Amino acid sequence: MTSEKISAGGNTSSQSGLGGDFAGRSRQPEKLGGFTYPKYPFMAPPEIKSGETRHYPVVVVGGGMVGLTAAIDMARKGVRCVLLDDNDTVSAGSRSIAQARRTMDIWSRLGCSKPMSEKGVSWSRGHTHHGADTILSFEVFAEGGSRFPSFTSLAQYYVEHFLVERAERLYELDLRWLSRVVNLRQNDDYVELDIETPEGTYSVRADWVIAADGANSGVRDALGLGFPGDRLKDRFVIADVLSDADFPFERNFWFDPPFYEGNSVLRVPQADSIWRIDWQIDPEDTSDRALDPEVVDSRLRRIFGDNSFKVEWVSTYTSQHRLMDSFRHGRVFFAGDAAHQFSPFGGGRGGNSGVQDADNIVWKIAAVVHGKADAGILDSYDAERRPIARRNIEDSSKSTAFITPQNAHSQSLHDAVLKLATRVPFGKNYVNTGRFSVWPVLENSPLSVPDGDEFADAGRPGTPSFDCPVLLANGEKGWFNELIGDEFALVIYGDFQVTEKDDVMARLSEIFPTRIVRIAPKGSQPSEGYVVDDGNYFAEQYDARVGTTYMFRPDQHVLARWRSFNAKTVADGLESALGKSEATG
Amino acid sequence: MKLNTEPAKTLEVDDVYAKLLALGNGRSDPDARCAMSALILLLINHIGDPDVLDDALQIVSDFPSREAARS
Repeated sequence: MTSEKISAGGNTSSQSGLGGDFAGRSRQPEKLGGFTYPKYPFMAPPEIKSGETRHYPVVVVGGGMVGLTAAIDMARKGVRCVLLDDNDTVSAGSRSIAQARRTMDIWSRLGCSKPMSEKGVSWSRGHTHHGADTILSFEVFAEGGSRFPSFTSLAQYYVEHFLVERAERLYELDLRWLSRVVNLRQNDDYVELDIETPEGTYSVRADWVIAADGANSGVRDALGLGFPGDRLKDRFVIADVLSDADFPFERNFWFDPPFYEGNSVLRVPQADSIWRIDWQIDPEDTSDRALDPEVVDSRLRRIFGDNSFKVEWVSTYTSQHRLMDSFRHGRVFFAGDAAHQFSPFGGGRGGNSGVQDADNIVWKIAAVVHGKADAGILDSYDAERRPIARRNIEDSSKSTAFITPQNAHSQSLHDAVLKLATRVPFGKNYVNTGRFSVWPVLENSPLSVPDGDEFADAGRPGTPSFDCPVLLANGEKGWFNELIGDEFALVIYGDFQVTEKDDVMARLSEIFPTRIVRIAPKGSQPSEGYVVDDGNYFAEQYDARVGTTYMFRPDQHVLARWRSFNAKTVADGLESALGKSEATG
Repeated sequence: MKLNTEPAKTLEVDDVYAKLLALGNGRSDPDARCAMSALILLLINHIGDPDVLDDALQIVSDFPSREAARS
């Protein structure tokens, strides 16, 4: 699509990314740096030939990073899934560029993190400047033992390209490009979607729909649902710029720089010699003026100095903070920008939280489709993910409020902090150019089994798995997340006698496929049936002692933990999570 | 110097900043300045140490305004 607006304009577009409006001269490029835009062909689905309305377990609307993640996960779980996207290629510009460690862990589970890691770059230092002075520098450390850095700098078009490559290899997944949802109805039994294509309109039915169709979600409109929140005053131009400049591979943020007085500028390195540049513009500036090639070139000339550069993609951007009242409406689940929007300076929350939404809802729908869980489990999606979205809005609002003061009072606070930052040790702590998104713990989840035993706070129920290297029985290095996989997993630490193990496993397996992982403390010899916590990461992160037992959910979050393994307690925890305690009790 | 300028572990800086910002909500600029000044006096009274006040005054003694810094 060569529309003027990428995710705006009333289409059901697809590519989830930064939580705001893109406008102006942001046309779809054919190439971006070393990346050539793929064209995914439209192929007439059976419904067009036969005229019949087919029924599928799951339809995903939107083929951006969120929708693709959901569809891949769903198909891997053996659920037949149709993905509808109104476009035929990937994200026009870099958009979501900071892929968090947790997000990479999810894509690793889905078998597509390898090309992303290889293509992605990471920067480990950042600097914040005020005027001509550098007021603070920071290092970004990869947390202990991680496979991935805290953030992988990888543009959204690459992410989506790699996700599509993965998706195309899945038999259960039916990718339908240039397929736009124009209407949607639901009743107690199914959802019916009308789809417009280059070869005519047809309808499909689905048990469940995941709406990942972006900030201007057409599904949300079709259901007449609101998207309460605010459009902020601050506006930015964002650009992907190809340059051979040998700038250090670091994040730089300027307040009021000599080369662009009174405004802020962000420069972040990406793959393929692309630099992502964001600069603030006057709220009154029209997009046409801000994106005038001469204006853009003169701004960039002052950033790139004598280095040659070429603008590969440019757009204006207005922040919005919006949150749906509920992420579930009947048989429709909203994910990503369709459900929540944050400011881009929130520290990489938009794309990442959307992928984490997908991670959360898919296993639940799959469990219901396979008859392994009661449909009541689906309500936990909103209960678990909406508080995280609300927290993301709060945090990114704080960053935005600091970066772009809106009145004389906030301007003087902003100025005072920037002055204090170089004068007193505590001052720089107040400088907020975007706090990096935090480890997304599902607090107070209705599924979690509250701690009954004494434990440290870290690793509490609702925490995503903290991946770490382990020594496998054959002496080779493995990864904890690969051991727990994407079924339920029971992880038992130390040489603890598990009595009646076969009976327990038989009972658990009746409820849901469950793996057992036995971890031996650091220093143990690798032996059959055990992996060794060689770096002591598991013991430290999970406050583990001999007998400590953790149960992980299929999305690799902690469901429950106990100081000793008890078969009945474990089975009860699993049943209550799946909403089956009454059915079987 | 008696003034403690190390980060206070008991404070969430982003929350402190949000509270100070909120002081300006619904207030004109002069009213916001009045509220900020009153806040400063309250805290100075609580600290009750003229040396601490002098240390703090010393740090801000040459703080220019935005405009002054430019010209």
